[in-house]
Amino acid sequence: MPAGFETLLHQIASGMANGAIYAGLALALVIVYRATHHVNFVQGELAVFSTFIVWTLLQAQFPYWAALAISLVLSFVLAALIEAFILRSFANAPAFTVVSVLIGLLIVQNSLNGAVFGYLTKQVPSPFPDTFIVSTKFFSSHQLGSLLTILGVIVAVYLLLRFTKLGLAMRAVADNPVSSSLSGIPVGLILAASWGIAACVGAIAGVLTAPVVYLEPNMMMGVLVYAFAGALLGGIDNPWGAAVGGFLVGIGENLAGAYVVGTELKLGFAMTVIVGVLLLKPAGLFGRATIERV
Amino acid sequence: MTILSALVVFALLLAASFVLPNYRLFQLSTVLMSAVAILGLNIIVGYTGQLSIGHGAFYAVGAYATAILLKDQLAAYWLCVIISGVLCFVLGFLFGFPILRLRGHYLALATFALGITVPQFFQYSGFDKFTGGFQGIVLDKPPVPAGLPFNEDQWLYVFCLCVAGVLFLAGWNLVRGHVGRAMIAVRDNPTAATAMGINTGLLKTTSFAVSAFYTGIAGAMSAIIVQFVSPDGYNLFLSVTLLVGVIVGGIASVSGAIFGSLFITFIPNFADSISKALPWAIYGLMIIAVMYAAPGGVAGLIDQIVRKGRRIKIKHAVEPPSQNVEEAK
Amino acid sequence: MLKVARLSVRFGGISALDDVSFNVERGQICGLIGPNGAGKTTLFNCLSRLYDASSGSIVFEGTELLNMPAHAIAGLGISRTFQNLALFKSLTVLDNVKLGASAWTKTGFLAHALRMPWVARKEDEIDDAARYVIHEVGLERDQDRPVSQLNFAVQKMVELARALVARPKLLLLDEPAGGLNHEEVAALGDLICRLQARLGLSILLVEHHLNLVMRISDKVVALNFGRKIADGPPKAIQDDGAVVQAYLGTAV
Repeated sequence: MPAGFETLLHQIASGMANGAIYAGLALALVIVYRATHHVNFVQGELAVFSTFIVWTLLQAQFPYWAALAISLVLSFVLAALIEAFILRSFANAPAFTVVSVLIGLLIVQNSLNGAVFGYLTKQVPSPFPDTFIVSTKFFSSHQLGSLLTILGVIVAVYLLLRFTKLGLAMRAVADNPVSSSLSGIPVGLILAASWGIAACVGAIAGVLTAPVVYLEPNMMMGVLVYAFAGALLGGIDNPWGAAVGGFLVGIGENLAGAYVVGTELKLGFAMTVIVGVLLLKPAGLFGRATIERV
Repeated sequence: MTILSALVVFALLLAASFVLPNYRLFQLSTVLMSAVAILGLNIIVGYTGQLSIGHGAFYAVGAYATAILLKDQLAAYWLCVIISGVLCFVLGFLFGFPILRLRGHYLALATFALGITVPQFFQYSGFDKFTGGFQGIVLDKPPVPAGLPFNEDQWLYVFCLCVAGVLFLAGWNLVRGHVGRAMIAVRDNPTAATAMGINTGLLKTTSFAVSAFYTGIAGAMSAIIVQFVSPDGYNLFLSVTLLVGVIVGGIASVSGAIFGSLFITFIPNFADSISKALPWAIYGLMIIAVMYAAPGGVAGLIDQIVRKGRRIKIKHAVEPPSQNVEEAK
Repeated sequence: MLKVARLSVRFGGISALDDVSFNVERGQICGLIGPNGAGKTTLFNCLSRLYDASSGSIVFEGTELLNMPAHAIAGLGISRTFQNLALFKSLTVLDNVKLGASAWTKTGFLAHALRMPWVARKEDEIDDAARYVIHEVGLERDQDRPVSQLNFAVQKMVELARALVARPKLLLLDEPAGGLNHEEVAALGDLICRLQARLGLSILLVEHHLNLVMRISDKVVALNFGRKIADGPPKAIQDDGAVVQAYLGTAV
């Protein structure tokens, strides 16, 4: 295989691995967007919180799966409480107000993470040691494990939405909250649960990111931008689109970094995607375009 | 605030340059320039109703443009500031024109991306020759014009005061005339604004460019005041800090910019010593609290109190008829 | 002065307007009637350029409107009110009405920032114009109150005042009598006639209150399912079979 081509494959492979994490976080963003029509600016900080919980429990000698399970539960609860007690108060407020509140929450959650867990970078081990999954030529153990995990999460969310009562209720509320309420669906609980499920998905994205970039309060800020780009590219109201978008952004970012803008300016690629999609095709590749009636 | 009271305040602040120690003058300069940045952001966010969480980008551009020009002494300091402002105006217009067609969350997303991405450019090692990389750029204090009775610190403060004075006057003129009304119209009901004959796209874009101009000048001045720029201070948190200043000080209020500036300057002063995270926690909680309980911010609360006071005064000025009849007996 | 020629608007597969043509002469009050969904508001939104037409033309005093951007319409002399009100909620009555002057006021940022002398003069001119119209329409008592505090009928007056300050040649009224009681409708009819005579306006009026329309209109255009079904003086329209059928259906 010619050297140039092999490098290209390497870039694509690691792009897919990064893309898996973006896809995971993008999926979380879409779950919240479909339920509430809000862009969840807090998603990254919640993921960091979840990762810090896992790290704390690992420090206390908990086995990985137990630490993760407890973190998922706590993340679900925290996110549901935020939705129920803070965001619900602004349910009928204009977008301007809601976005301001979400930014406020981003800052509060970020500072909480820093205050409770400290600002020194921490090491979080990968749940996929070399002995468990064999690393291949193009993927490390962690990358392969991340890919498979995120794919598993995507499938799990699909099954949840498609085949469970909760999923059906979530889809109903996303489509028409008033009719859902009149049909007896507890809309408030569903909204809180949507935030909770999104937080769990985000938590998994977080624990898969930490082994690569080291855990500290600002860990997910950049990742969030890529996740936004992926969600927008795929269609911010389409879960599968967002996942595809996340992978595309991951691969694109790596290729752009390797061949166009250099690794330091890769965020510029994400911003180009975000601005480009918003201007050219706001519904993204797979989203539903909405027409406003005056 | 009447013109007279504003002039009195200006005169007092000017006199302060002779009375206060250099450290206080430095603090006041910072407050004045933050106020300018917040007023700028208020123009697009408060009056025109377009949320931007990325204005830190323009602050950074202004700061670095001035620093780069001053470092190699390519222009006098006051000219550097003007150039920085104009540069930010142009960039604001170019970015704003396509972006301001977006609404609500999508606009916030685009500006969020701007606020995170642009500061990265100043960390790019390829530009190190200009930006000084992580070490940043160190600047000298501007020289005092011949014949004026100030030392360098006092002159810097007076210069800040004059810049702030001019920009506040211009801003006040803008918002109290038809332009200000048109901005609020675009905020409250863009369809009706269009039907009334307002070119909403151009108005939003120009408003954004003006806000970028103000923020760029504030950034340029802050570089001169602190005598240093480095890539660290211009990230998302700066954008959010400016937004906090707008929201807490008072949306769509000129005086609100002063309250907001005092808030964001002095909160870190006292909260930092307790915990590094505390100022941010306070900022975030204040945004939520203000949005929930007092959307008009400090300026709005003061306005409400003044209006209630006026109503009470009127009530007492008119005696109820029965009492008059009593006294007539 | 207004020539609507073969105007068609299609949303996806639906024809909201189909080949509609009619004229409004200078100084006329023209009523536009039809059942819900007939296309009346769509027609208005085409005139305001808030919607794009699929085909046809609208010529106002020699200018083809369908080539103009929406914000240029007011400057040409066309002003409108909205069916569900489109006031600027955070502003007072006076400020809302003043914004009607945007049709003949430039919003130069630099000029305003420098408070050029002509800006101050323009402000006085706008103030005078707004207060005059507020007086004509009877809103003086409420002029400094925020519009959000006022009741629906008064808010409708504010919208009318705002549209008048624009110094229109053609005034588009979108269901001005909607939500008003009997007396208010009668008062509105008198007001419209008085304004038309005083200011020499032409008026195009969408309305469901057929009494009002028939009383004050010089001519009436009737739409149904996006098509024009009748066009003529009120008397003729009242007796027109197609119009009766559109509103009431046929006898069984």
